[in-house]
Amino acid sequence: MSKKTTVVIGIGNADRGDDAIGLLVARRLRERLHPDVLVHESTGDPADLMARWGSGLRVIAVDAIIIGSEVGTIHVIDACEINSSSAMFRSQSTHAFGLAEAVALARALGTLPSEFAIVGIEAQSFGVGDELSPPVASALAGAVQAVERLLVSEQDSKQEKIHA
Amino acid sequence: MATKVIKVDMLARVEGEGALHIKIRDREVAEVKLNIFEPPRFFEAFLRGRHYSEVPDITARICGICPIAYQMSSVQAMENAFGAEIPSAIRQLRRLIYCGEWIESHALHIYFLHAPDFLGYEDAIALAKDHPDAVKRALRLKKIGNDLMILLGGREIHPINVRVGGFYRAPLRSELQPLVEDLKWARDAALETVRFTATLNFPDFEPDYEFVALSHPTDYPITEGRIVSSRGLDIDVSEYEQHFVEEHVPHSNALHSHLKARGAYLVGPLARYALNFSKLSPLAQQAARDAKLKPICRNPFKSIIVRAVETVYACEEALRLIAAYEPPEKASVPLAVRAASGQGCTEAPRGILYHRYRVDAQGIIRDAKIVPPTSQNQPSIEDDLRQLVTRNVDLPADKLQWLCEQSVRNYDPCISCATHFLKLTLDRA
Repeated sequence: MSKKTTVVIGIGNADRGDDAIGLLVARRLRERLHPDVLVHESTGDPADLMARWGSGLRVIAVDAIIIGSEVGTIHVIDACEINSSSAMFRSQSTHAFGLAEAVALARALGTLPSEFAIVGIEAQSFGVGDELSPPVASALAGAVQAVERLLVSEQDSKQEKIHA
Repeated sequence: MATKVIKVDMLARVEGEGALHIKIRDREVAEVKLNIFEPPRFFEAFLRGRHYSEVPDITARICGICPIAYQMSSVQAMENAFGAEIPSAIRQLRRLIYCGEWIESHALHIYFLHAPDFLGYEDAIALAKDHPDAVKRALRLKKIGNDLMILLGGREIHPINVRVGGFYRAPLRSELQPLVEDLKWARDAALETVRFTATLNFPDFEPDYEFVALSHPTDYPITEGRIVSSRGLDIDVSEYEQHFVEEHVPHSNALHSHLKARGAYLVGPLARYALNFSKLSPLAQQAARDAKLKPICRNPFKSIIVRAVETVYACEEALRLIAAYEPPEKASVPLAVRAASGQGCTEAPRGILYHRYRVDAQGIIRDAKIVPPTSQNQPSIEDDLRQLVTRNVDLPADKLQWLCEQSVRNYDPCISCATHFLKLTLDRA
């Protein structure tokens, strides 16, 4: 059985302030060399996301979100809980397609991976050319750890299956 | 006096932000306005003072779906200014990467933006629930177009391999081979798309457009040609501004373009098709005939079929270009920079895209003019709406609104481009 069963996808726009956070989390994770985990970066285009998460993979997506919590708060969300009308995923594109649309489309097509977690970082500012706002920058390490905890819990449940 | 207003605040399933306001007085259309409130982006202004070599990278930012169109029109305008001769091998590569853009842009529009209208779905997600195979086909077709752009351009959003004079790097023949199987699948998927779109229901509507497109002696026009029209215009690209004029209207941040002699005109797939049908490949021509299209189609709702036919052509043309590909001796030609003006015009997926630049002896841009296809179509979009509303004035408001929005989407308008999800207000009493 292939060990490469998990895909981490950092979503965002490196040039739009807090919208870069998903990409930065992905880059930090890639540096930490998890050999059985694929790490991708994506602009959030649904066709691109769906191609990257493929089928039969467990997915962890990382993205800036707006749900009204304190800026910098890290949320772990099950993708089953979101639908295409979710306003939480900040979509910078005038095309207005993003993670929520990708999840809804995949669900409609029956291709949504069965295990799909989203690590969302509450964001506030998306100015063109801006750096991360301070609370979001402070959340970077915590977001990386949130993804790593999800990866470890997958390992644990795999171990349990082997030993059972 | 009874006044009704149809108002759509934010038009969905178009690129960019626009609104539509229609006023009906006593069952007569009093006013039609396509309000483009997407903020003006001032590219023509901030290009001044930039070096000529930056033009493909800066203008690519005008559009995330059709960056190649901007890059090609811009580099050709600069090459025209400097009197550069571009060898055939480089010109074929440009045509090839442009095929990738046509495939991905058309696939996106047909399935995700326009087909839902014909089938009564709010959006592509609703369409996907009932027609999953069609949407999966669309996603793969779009991806293949994007893959071709990535292969030749370095990436699909704002490609980095295009330069004035050619490319930074030309691919080896062996690098193009892996796409052949995918492009064959894409050609078959595009044929299936023609069949699929041919089954849709089309309102009976055939305005008497003046079609404007490029025309080339042998090829279906993408990258090169003279500018011709269905009412006898036949000019070199350099004469564009003698015949076409842009004006600012109060209700739109996008300029409206007119033929000086005759007013509104139409660019895009219907125009290309009507003026160049005989240059389509035999397979594409047959697909059109099987879909009951004649060599000239005036029904803007059927533009969805014509886009599918063009997608067939683009897949075939990409396969032909890959089979015939010989790498150029050099990826780009040297340029004799001089003070000059130059013009370039290519066929973006949505229609002709005209660029003109004036540069000084150091190659610094002194002024720039960019005319996107959607600004050129705005008067026709409004004319169509006026006619459609007049003929359908007794429809219930929600159906009339749907029809108006569908009509705007016939044009696959790229509102972000036109200003350097449509708001429709139907004002009815």
